[in-house]
Amino acid sequence: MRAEHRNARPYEERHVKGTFALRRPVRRIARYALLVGMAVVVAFPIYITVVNALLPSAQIGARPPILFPTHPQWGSFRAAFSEAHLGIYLRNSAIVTIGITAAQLITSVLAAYAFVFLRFPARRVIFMVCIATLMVPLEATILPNYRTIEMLGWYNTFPALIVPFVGSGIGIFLFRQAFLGLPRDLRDAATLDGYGHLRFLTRVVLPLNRPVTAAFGIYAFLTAWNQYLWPLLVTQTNSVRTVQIGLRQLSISNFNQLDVVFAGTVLGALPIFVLLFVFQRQLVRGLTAGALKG
Amino acid sequence: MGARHRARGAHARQRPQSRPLRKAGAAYLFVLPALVAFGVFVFYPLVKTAYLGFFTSPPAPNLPSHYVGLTQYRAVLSSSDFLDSLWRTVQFVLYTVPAGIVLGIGLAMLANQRLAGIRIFRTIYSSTVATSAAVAAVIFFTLLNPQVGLLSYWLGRKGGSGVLQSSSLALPAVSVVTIWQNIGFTFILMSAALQSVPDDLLEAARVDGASSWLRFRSVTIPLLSPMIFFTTIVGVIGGFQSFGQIDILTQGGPNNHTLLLIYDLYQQAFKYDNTGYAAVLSVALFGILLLLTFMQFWFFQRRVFYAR
Amino acid sequence: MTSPPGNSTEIDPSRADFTPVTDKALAALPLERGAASSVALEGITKSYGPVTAIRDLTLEARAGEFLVLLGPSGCGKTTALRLVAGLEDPTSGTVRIGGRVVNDVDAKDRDVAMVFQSYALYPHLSVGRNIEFPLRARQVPASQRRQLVATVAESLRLEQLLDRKPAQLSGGQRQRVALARAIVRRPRAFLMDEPLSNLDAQLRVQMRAELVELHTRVDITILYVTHDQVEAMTMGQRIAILNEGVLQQLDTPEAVYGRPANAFVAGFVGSPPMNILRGRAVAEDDALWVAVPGGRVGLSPPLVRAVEDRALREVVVGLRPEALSLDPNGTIAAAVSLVELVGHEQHVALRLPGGQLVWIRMGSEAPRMRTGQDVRIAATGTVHLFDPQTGNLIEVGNE
Repeated sequence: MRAEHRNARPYEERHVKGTFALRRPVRRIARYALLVGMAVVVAFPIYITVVNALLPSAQIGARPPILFPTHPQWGSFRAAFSEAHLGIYLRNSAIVTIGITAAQLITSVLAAYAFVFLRFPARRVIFMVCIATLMVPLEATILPNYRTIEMLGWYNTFPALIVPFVGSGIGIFLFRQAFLGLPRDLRDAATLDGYGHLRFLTRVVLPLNRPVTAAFGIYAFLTAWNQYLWPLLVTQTNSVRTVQIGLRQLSISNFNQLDVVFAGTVLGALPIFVLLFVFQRQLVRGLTAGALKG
Repeated sequence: MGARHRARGAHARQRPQSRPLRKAGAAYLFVLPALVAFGVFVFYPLVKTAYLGFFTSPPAPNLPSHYVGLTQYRAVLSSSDFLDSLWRTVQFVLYTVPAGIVLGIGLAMLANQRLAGIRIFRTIYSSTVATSAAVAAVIFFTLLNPQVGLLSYWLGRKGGSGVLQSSSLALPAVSVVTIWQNIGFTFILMSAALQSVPDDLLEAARVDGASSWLRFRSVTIPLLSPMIFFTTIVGVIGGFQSFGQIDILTQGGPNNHTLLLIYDLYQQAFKYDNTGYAAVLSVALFGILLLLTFMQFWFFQRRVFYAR
Repeated sequence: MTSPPGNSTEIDPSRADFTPVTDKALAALPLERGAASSVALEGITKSYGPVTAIRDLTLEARAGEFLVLLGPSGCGKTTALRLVAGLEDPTSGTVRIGGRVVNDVDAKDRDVAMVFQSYALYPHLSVGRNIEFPLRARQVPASQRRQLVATVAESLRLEQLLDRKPAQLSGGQRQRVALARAIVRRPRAFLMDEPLSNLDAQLRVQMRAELVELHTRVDITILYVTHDQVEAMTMGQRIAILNEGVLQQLDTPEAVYGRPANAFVAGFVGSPPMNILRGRAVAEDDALWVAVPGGRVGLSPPLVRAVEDRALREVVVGLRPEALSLDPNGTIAAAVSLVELVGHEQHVALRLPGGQLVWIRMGSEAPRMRTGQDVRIAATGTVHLFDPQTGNLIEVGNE
């Protein structure tokens, strides 16, 4: 792009000549101003949340507002973690999210493998059935699902939060697409080399499909972590509530301790921020692929 | 070669002897976990929901429900309550989706410049992708609080009634929160699309003397249009499924002014035990989302077709 | 045997240091299994729904034999190979390896190795790991695995490449890795599916020689699939020719060339192909002739007897390009259509009055002919007589 600007210069000089020297820096400053302005708009809610978490509760409503914590106090985080139960919520979310992600990876990889590498009656029909689940939103199924969970005696337990989501149509679709790209000869070679399906899957297919595995893993993790409606329905006590529901509780019940509310929000959002920072590239792939389902 | 490929395609029909049968058995074991999960938690409840819509809920618990056939479907779907919440949902989508896309494209264009430190801005613009609806809602819930909220203060609403308590401003406020929460996602998608616009096309337009507005309108936007369509559909589907922010910010209030379809469904089902009514809403929501998903698939297939 | 290429224009590191595979190194492989076994298909039919890929195929590669399956694409030869490997199941018929029926034995337990046209190397594994892969599946102890890999790598000149990934190798090197992976476990039989077709022409000639050498030094059974009749002729101890799923002939290269079982084999083996001419049997000048477009072909006594015994009125004769020659007094008139100079000889395509092309082979020292020039040719070599209905060979006779 630098080079492109330089190439473009003679052309511009011919046409704008005198004003060129003047306009360049001005335009650059304007661009930066716009960039910074938008950055402030986008980042301000997050920034002020962190700031407020570090302010004593009394100063949060101060007028004029305090926009920088000169004497940050970190106690609110400890309070949010233990007294406001964020620690437990985070643990619960981790259990549920990892459980769902792992289960979806396993069931999707297995099913996709069968669709690509095995021949069996009704293969196409079964595949279509799996893909059809993409068209059924959670909202269309919550009533009976809630009853099923009650009937199983799973209300307010981790299985209630995990088991309904162990299958993933999008996962099957993505892995199938990826596996179709593998040469069929590899399967035949591995068969003759003495590898059964499971070992071929773990030793050859998965190592060759790390990108799609990572992308789908991130997508599944994000989706599971952000779930709201279902955990709201099937949890009742803090011992199984996930972070999203915990934040709801926090905002309802701790309003006299605003610093704790803000600190809790920061804690609740932190894991995903870290995750996304580490896996930026996989995230973009996961989001674009996952956006299929919305 | 040719024969072998043909052969593979046809193989599924051919099933002699014991070894192949054993192989098919293994295949069913592989697909079974997913199939069981889908059967129990997707297909069974889907049918059951439609079935529940044939029964009206009793006025008090423990009384029998009445089979009324399609009467309830007709009644609910033509009721003003349903049409109101549907219209509010459409309004919500209209507030959030176009604005979100325009903002997303704008930020993506801004961050697509080759300037020093641009990576920092990219990170900031994509940061809200890490916020869930609940996180966004809790942040804004306090910021919009009439007593201590910073935004209320700056909006000159200190002391008075809050934005979220205003019948005219509540839905726009919830929409703003939603736009903010989605901006990172939209930005990431639009940036990815923008980066795939070939530089030489824009350079060619530039050499042809096209102004920057013309370049944007006649080169960039057409090339972005697949992603714009994609984001629109995803956004509309997401709009119909928006729940967390409503639940935390307004609970459908004030005076039902933020009572979106899905929140209505939730309240009917789990607050008022009006199962039959909620079942009809579920089916309606399913129908709408199905239509949108079909549009998305149709689009996706076309795109795959063009790309390969 | 084609002679190895003299001076190559480009230097390929993989073939710069050509050393034959040493039998000593391979004999030293400390494996208990792996005596070369016979491989047999008996009355095999394989159909996919309405399509029959192989029809009642019976053939056997003897223990230690190099047997080539030859045929045009789609003739069922690859399917036959996959049936032996256990990658496909026959619709009917029996597969035997070492005399034992293996129809119900899983592919991994049949103890055969396959070299694929695509090589099918595992892209994420190094060369060493690729070679080691089948040993890991069979739970060979690590120390022994290392030793085996080292031995095989050395004998196939791969020891410098053990840490590379397949993507970093040349075609010839990949080919040798695929071979190494097959050899390392000393299977009862090697199945090779067009293993040389992805190599450039020069390398193919060299690998041909290497494979033959490997086979003569190591006791292995090789079932080799190709559509290239030159490969088949130069490598196979015997050749099985398939067409549309049916075995046409199974014999030595000499016999397949000299006594092709039918017109299909005659046309498929040999380059340029045998000229097949259809004509009427006519008695002229006190002799029996075959009247063909542009003239007539004389028949030798055995052929005359064959024609008379069968009372044939229509006759199909086949003449190899070397069985025809230019002769001002020749019995057939033709016009030069195309002249191909291939170094040591020329192939000349002549057009007969009816439009059919016939090829003749001439020494390179013969004067070049002009396209369109009118010539006369005479049958001076072996004439093959085929049944006009079935295409089967009736008799071979000399003019």
